[in-house]
Amino acid sequence: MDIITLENVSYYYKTYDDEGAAAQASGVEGINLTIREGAFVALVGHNGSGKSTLAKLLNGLLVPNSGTVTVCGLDTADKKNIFEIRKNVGMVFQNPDNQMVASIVEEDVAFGPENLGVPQPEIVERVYSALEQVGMTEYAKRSPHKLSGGQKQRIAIAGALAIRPKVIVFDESTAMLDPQGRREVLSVARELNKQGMTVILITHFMEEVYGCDEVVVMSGGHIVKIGKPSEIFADERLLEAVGLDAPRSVALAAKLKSVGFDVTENCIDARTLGVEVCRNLTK
Amino acid sequence: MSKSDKVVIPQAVADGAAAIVADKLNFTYNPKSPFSKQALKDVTLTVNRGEFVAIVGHTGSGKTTFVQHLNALIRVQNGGLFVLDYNLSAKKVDLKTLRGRVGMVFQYPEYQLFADTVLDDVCFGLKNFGVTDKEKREQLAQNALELVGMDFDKVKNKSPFDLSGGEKRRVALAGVLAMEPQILVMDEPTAGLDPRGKREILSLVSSINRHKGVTVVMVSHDMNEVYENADRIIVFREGEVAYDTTPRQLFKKEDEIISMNLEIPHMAKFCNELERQGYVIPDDCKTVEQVFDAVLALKGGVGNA
Amino acid sequence: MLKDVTFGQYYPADSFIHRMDARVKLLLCLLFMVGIFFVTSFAGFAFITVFLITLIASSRIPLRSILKSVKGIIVLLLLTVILNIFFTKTGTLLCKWWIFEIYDGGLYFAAKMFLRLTYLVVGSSVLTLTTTPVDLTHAIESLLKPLKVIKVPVHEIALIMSLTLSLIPGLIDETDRIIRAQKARGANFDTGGLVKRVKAFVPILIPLLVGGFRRAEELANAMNSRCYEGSNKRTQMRIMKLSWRDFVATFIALLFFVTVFVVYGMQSKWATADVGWLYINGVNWLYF
Repeated sequence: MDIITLENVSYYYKTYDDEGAAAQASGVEGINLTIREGAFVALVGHNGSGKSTLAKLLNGLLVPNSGTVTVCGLDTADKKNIFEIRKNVGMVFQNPDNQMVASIVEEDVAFGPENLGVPQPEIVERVYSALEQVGMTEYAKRSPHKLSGGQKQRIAIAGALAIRPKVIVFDESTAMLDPQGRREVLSVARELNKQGMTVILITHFMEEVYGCDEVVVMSGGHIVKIGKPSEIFADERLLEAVGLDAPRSVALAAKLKSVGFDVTENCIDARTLGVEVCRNLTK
Repeated sequence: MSKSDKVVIPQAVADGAAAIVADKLNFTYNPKSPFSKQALKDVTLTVNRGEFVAIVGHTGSGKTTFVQHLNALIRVQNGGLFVLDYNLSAKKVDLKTLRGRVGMVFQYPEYQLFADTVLDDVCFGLKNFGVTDKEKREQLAQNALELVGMDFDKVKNKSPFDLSGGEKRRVALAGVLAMEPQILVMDEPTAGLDPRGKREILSLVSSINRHKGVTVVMVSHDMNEVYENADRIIVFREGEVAYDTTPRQLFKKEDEIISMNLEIPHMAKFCNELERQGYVIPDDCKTVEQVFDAVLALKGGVGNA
Repeated sequence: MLKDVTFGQYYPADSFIHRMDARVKLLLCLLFMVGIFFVTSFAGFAFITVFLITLIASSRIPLRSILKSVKGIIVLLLLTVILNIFFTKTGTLLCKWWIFEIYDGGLYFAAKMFLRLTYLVVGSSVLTLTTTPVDLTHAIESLLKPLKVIKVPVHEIALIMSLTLSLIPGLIDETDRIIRAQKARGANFDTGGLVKRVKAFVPILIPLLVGGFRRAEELANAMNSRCYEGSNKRTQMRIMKLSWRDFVATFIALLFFVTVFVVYGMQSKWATADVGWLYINGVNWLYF
């Protein structure tokens, strides 16, 4: 079942030139995309490719200038639907420090359910089950300020989960983290997807894309390709054109294959690739 | 005569071979309080002039504390530290000339932009460091902006806030490069950039290092970029220097690296596997292209492996 | 350097006072602050001293932390004492030098104002040292709730306080970082005349402001995404419950204040003089 559908969606930002005259800068243009319930979709592109604009269109933070965005059968352009849409689409943003509304972890996570008017005993239950899902229960009474970037993002994820959404969008949530923080966030995202959550991961780290069901490549406000990670990795020319890099081992595997080596394509693990190359060399 | 004047100047500093010499450098945050935390423990290392050194380590390992010592943003508490010909353990240090010669690029440097125009922002440091001649300032600013790949005439009168994220970062970098520092210290200069932005910054830093002879000290979390760009990697662990060696040698210690919560670069992992199986990979093979060529060479002479 | 600033100065410990309901603590603290103006005799101050010592002892706060907050107003204290000594012209003249005259009334008022101010700070710091800023925010929201009837945006006020609290540590970090970055570019904040020094802060203020807007926008997006739409039908996770401690404390406190008022009643003559003096002197009212 499709949970999110975008039909011919365009969104323009208003900009002003030096004389103060209004102009339109394109955010995204002519986007057609459907996202299946339960899917793990990666949205990749360089900075300024429109991927974050697209993310904000998914829960009505932005409303398209033309075209329609439908979430769980609801049109985001209809103001009456906004609350219901945001209940279904949780969002985690880029900067872990700018999403905290409270100075105690559990109260921050409770913010969503409090807004929804959930009865008090249920808020507690939701907060603690959300914290458990991201493995942060022991930090419930702490101040988020002293936590690592990865831990703060996990709190932000718990905050989204406490609303009990069907979809969770990671809007470059790993961009400001160190490798360990990135691993933490990604493993939570994968785990959530396994439990049936629809996950939309927006990123420019191609390594994070590995294992996704589908990759949407954006450039210049357009979708330039949709495919499985293997198809995207294999398309070296496309990646080059949109300013992205395949993981180095994948790039090496592709190069070796092109000169006749018998190696697995899209080998993300360099050691496996090494083993395969050795086998080729001793042949 | 103050105590610090008696410090013996290390030979490497005296003959101008070393850019940075740290000798048993210690630093404790909030000393003598219940919150005291030792950030550096007996850090001893040397960075030679013209070298490209990467400093890596887990968050909280002390690497940022160390690099902030290099232009006296953090003053030496205990131990010896020489940067160029400045003795930073001395009581009095000529901060103005030191900071002009040791350029420091912080994490997300675009967040420090403030002036009305790009030109003014780049000139800020020059003004502070005493370049009084306006024309001279503008010339230096132009050189720096062109060095970072910006079209000077196009951007000089623009507001820095109207630029894209990657451009802002390059302008911020130009603000430091304009002073023509001899040492460039950078704290995660590529954080938050997309792959193309990363490549641009790294190739810029490499070329400044190679062609202008600027000593580069770069803190980074990205092991792949460190592996491919640095001459030497210094690993900090809990305030101490855990390893200080070349990239290839360092990442041969796979288990130790993983135990420090760091990643192994793809190409290092690949080469390690080949070497484990008895193949010889030249030490300077670090990028995908270099490794690819090395494998082709191996295939040519498989019998000898 | 900026990191040394601890906000709210909450001192974590487990004591009777720590466990009290923040609302009760806040109300009693206000009562104490009002009450202290009714204390006019030195016997009264002796009584309050005993009360405060008992309070501090039962809160398990080290005396050092309390003295630190008194140190914060040391300039104000000295000023008050000096102004009172030299500008009060009641009672008998004790000594005279050039245009300065010291009366015994001046010494008397100076001592009283000194004690009053000090005790005000001590009393309120017991509150802030034993109550987290978060609890205080909740207490204020809860106590202001009745004002909703007259359309005071109580929830919004509380939310602003809570957001401010959660943003402050990040803001301090950011200020610190910007200062360091500009210092690395040769900025100098320590020398030069006033104009020069004020100008030196522009490179800090502008990035902070720009960063503030960026933060505000991201925060607004984050809040909207979590279904924020004002106070309608909002519920709260935290329930504040009164316990036996609160009743015991209230009882003791009321007993205390009744005593203070009784003593005050007996010395009302002095008090009128005192209040009158506040208006005449025209200096000290500024502080209250």
